Amino acid sequence: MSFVDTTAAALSPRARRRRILRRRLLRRPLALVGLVVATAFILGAILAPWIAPYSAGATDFNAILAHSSSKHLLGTDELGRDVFSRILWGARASIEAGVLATLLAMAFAVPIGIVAGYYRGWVDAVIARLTDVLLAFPFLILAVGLAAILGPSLTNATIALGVGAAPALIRIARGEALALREEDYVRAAIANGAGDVRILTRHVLPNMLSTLIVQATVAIPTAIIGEAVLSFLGLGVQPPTPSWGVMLSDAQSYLSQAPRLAVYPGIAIFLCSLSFNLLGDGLRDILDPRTTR
Amino acid sequence: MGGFLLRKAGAALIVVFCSSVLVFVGVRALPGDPAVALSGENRDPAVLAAVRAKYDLDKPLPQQYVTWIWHALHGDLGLDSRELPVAHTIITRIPITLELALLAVLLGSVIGISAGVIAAVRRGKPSDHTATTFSLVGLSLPHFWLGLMLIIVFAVDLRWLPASGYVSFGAHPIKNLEHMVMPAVVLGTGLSAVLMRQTRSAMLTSLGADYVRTARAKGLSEWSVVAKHALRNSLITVTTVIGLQLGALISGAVITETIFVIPGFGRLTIEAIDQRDYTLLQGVVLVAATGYVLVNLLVDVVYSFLNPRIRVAGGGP
Repeated sequence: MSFVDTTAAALSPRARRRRILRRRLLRRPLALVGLVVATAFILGAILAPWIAPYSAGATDFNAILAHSSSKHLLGTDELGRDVFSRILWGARASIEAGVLATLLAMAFAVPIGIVAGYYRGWVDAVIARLTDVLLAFPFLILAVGLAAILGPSLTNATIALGVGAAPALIRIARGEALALREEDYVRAAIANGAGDVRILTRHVLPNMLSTLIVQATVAIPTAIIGEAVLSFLGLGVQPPTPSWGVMLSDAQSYLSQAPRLAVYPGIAIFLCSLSFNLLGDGLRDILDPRTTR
Repeated sequence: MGGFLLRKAGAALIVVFCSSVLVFVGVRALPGDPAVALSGENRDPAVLAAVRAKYDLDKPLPQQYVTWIWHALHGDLGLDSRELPVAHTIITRIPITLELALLAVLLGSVIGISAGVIAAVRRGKPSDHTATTFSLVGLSLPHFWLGLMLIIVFAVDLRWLPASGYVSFGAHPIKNLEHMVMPAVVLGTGLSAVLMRQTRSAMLTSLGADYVRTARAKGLSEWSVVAKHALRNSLITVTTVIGLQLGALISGAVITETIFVIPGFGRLTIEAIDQRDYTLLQGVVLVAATGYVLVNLLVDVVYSFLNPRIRVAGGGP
């Protein structure tokens, strides 16, 4: 034990922290599984053109609604398209929507939340009411409205998902800023005459990063499921472009004939969002500042 | 406490006002000429002019808004494209969604809260791990897909339950419940997962609190400590969570009612979009937003009654 401590002491604080985090991750097998599966989904989405056995739209009219075989791993759909290939291609829409919607929400929500929590007073009150207004519109109603105004597409679905995720993130960033503002190092910076921008970017933001990373990991699966819902309702990805939601929507007409068509895309959505949720849960424990210091 | 509630009511009023402006502007931002849509795609200038005059579309926007909100305050949300009063259509659809939501909340609370309590009391034991895993699965499960799977198993294969449709409770209570079981399960699982997590963490906090230690020191039975002291205080947090979940519940109702073809409020939203019915859409979204704000105001009221710190001190959180 003392041996480990002396080597750790020889390392820079940053390297030591990284080493602690790595050890904590290895001690949480579920988080590790989440990381591996989520990475596999992301790689599958990126590499779909090279690793998918068939292109997304390739039809085989000799094998319509075919069962699994060596030729078609998960069988084919009503147009003879390879289900496994379409799930790989469909991962692109889901991951894209999940990640971009979360980044969009972060870019929009974090600065607003920080300003509200740091300055408090009337700025905070105005932002709190605006957040309440956004929250009053259930995400799907908001998304349906946006899709109606902007037209249904993956981009517009992503915007709707990002806007829908923002209110919760604003509240979290606000709460963090409110707490960090009272920390000694922020007070010391204020006493030293540091400007607001410097305090916010050098002291407040970096110290809420771990909370934000955890929130992002948890927001991604919500957005992935949201994209599937919107595409299922015809408000997101438009056929013939493959997406898990579109595949489920198509499968609805074949529930008695070929129920498996509705099973596989759903399992893909489930595993993908479960992996991000497992990772998020693990990161919450691993990055918790109360235990890293 | 009066001051606290008054402040909350004032804030709710502001939110409802801003939402109504947003709904109004949003619907005006929809592509296409509402007059063309309202006249049944008739492009005759005389007909369009008549439609514009009838629906006040020729007036300036602020005036249109004032007229609309004035009528809305009197319970008149205008006529939809089939000349039916929007308020009446919404009122006939709301009880269906309310029944669905009520069943889902009931199911979600019973499962979620009891699983959360068990997980917290037996922390670290197998039952805790099982409950935590189930909640993680519930959070990751796309619920509309769960709906499709239930249809495949219970309607297509086993033929126990009807796959779609709706019968009102008044007409045939048993048939009504048969139609509502699967949708309620679909809508309730997500809620139970969220509630389980919140209950578990609230219970863990309560069980570690001084008043629980005092209760134990008094020699109260474990049941009394858990149910009367820890759970009662945890329920304060859980009530707030149920209120905040209402938005998710409305979104969930939209998709659940679409899958199970239930003619409720959620389905009406999709119909309004599909038919490009502006007056209807405007009314539906306004009612949804107002409903959300009102329920959360109600939650604040309940919260202030449950939480002795607000009840006695009169200060807000």
